[in-house]
Amino acid sequence: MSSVVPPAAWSGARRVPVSNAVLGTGVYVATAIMFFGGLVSAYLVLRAGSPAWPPAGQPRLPVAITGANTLVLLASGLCVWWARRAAQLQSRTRALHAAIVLGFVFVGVQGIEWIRLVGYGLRASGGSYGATFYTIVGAHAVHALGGIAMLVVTSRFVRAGRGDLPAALLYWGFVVLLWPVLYALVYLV
Amino acid sequence: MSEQSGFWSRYVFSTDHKTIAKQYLITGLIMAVLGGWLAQGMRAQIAWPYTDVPGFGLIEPGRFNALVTMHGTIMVFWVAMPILLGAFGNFLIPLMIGARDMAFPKLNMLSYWTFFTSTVVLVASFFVDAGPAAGGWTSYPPLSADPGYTGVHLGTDLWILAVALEFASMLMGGVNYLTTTVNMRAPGMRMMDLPIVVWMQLSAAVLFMLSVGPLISGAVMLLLDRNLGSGFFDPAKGGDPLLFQHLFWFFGHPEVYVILLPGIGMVAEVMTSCARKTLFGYRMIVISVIAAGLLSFIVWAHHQFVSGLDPRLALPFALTTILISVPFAVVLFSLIATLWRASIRYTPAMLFAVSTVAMFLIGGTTGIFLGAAAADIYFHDTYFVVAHFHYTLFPATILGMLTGIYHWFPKMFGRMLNETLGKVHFWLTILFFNLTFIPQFVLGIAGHPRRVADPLQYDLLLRDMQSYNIVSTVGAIGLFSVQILFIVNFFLSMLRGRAAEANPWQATTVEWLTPSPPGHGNFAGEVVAVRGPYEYSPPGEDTDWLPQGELQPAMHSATSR
Ligand SMILES: [Cu+2]
Repeated sequence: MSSVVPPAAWSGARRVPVSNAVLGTGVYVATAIMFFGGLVSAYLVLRAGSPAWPPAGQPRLPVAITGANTLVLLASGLCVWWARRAAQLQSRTRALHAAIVLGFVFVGVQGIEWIRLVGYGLRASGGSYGATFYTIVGAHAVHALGGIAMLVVTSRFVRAGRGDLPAALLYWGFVVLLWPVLYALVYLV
Repeated sequence: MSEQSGFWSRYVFSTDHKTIAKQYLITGLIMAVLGGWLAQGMRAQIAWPYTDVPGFGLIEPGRFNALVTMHGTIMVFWVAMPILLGAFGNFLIPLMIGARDMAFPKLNMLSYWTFFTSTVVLVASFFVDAGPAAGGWTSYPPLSADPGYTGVHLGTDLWILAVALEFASMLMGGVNYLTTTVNMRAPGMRMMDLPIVVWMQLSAAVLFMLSVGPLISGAVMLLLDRNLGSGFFDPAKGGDPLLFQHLFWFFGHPEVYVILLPGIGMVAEVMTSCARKTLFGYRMIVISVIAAGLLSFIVWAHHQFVSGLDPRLALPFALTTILISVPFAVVLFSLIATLWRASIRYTPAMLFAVSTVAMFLIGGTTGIFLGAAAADIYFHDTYFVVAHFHYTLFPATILGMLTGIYHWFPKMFGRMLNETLGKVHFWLTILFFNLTFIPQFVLGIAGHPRRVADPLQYDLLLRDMQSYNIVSTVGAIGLFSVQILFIVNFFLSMLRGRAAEANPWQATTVEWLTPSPPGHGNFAGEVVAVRGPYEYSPPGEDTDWLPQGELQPAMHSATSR
């Protein structure tokens, strides 16, 4: 069972409209959208079945700070879009680094707000208000951390002349654009 | 080529799709034996309640629930998924589209080892205190959320963890299947030139990816309910137990097609090559599968007609459910039409293929009784349901998988299976399968509830019908035992079967162009597709088949990239 043709010579003879990386990422993003669809529909069902929302005695969510934080995340998304468009390697990596820093700021502020809310008595075990909040926001934070890791890896690859910026943009774009929807649903409405 | 030498990188941590396929196959077969074994304990308890069962001992109701739960879980998630998608998806997709491997070989390896880990976690749950999960394979809360109902603590958490890992593994597989099929087809092979089994694998992957998200969200909530007391499914905390059922069946119904389609695809491949006729209605089959896939997202509540579903929702879901049988009828009739006036070669694979369709027709037809909300109120939670879904899932997964193994074994292992042994295995399997499940239809119509450990505790009429339960159990024992023939055939032939030529079945598709078994890289040259996939008995030709592809000299230089 020796090698018929060495892997180095396996030609990618086909010209394809979307790269493997973008396609694979796209498939994952579709799955993740359905995952958040499940969480959001659970949220809507539980909220509709609740007599008051937020229930009496539960703390209000930090609308203003999180709104500002939303802008930070959107700016981070813009940076990746920028990196994708930039012609020079240096401006690409610089834009990616800015996106990574802004991404960390977003997740960090979210974390601090979480801790403050726990201090105010918002508990995951205290009913569906707290439970849905922590689950939805936490799930988004996990996806954001995954996205930051992807940006870090991509920025290293870009410096080596490889790496798939469109795939990173696709995934980070998903994380960035999903957040305003969740913010509106959970914090505003 | 140092990366290819060495035992570990070649047989264990291999990135070659064929090796990964075999790893999935062997793991899945071992789990099939375990799943079948659990059913033996279950059936013995039902036929002869509270007698010592050899190998099990006394089975009390709590253990019976665990047997039911783990049998279902294992058969769906650790047999059907890994064998039909993990093994055959991995083996067939690159070979049949003329690719050298999957799009992401390392992700593929990670997928198998994630699956392996999930298997270890699941098997470990048998050995923890209070045993494995016992809340049913659907894991409905409060049975699954509150240990007070089943007495199982850690077992349920391990169950959720194992299922989550299994999903992660299948997700990685799905990313690979879709990307590979779309981007790595041989030059000249358009989407409508794909062998039908590749279409089925692709559709199954898409269905899985689009339906699994809501269930993962449900599993996350269940895990939080169990460990943090979040109460998503607990009415006392403002939660809703029906919510889990919706999330589960939004996945659960498409999942039926995820494990149905690959088997039907393999059946179609075997039928067209053994009938020496082109596949009837290729385009209609593809369109029907896409239509069924779309419909499968709006039928799920037919599982909840008696769960407290809003009665106004029952009618629309009953309608979509009846509607979804139309595309599947199209597929099955296309398969039957493929056989029309053919000179059929009855290889063991062909026998299994034909019986898959025959048995599935019984399963599909009895599904209409359950899809109609009014009839379902009577049939729900009876053995009629058990018989029905075994008549769909057993043909589609077990018979479909056996079809695939008997057909592609030569390509996988380079040796032929024993044909006589295969035919004996076929006839005994079909006999005992029907012996097991036909009595269950009768019992179900008489009102025999499912998931009860002791049917004799219901005095009214079931006492007189216990003989049906005994017949069914005898069938189950036979069905399990005759698989020894297959296991013996499988391993003996793998070691000392007749050496297989490249194309023992004179089949047209591309995987038969390369030696059996194919080496690393699959093809000695570049595959170019020159005609459609099923050019059997072409008019005006001397030969009765023309291959879909041709091999052209490989472009060796590194610059050809
Ligand atoms: Cu269903």
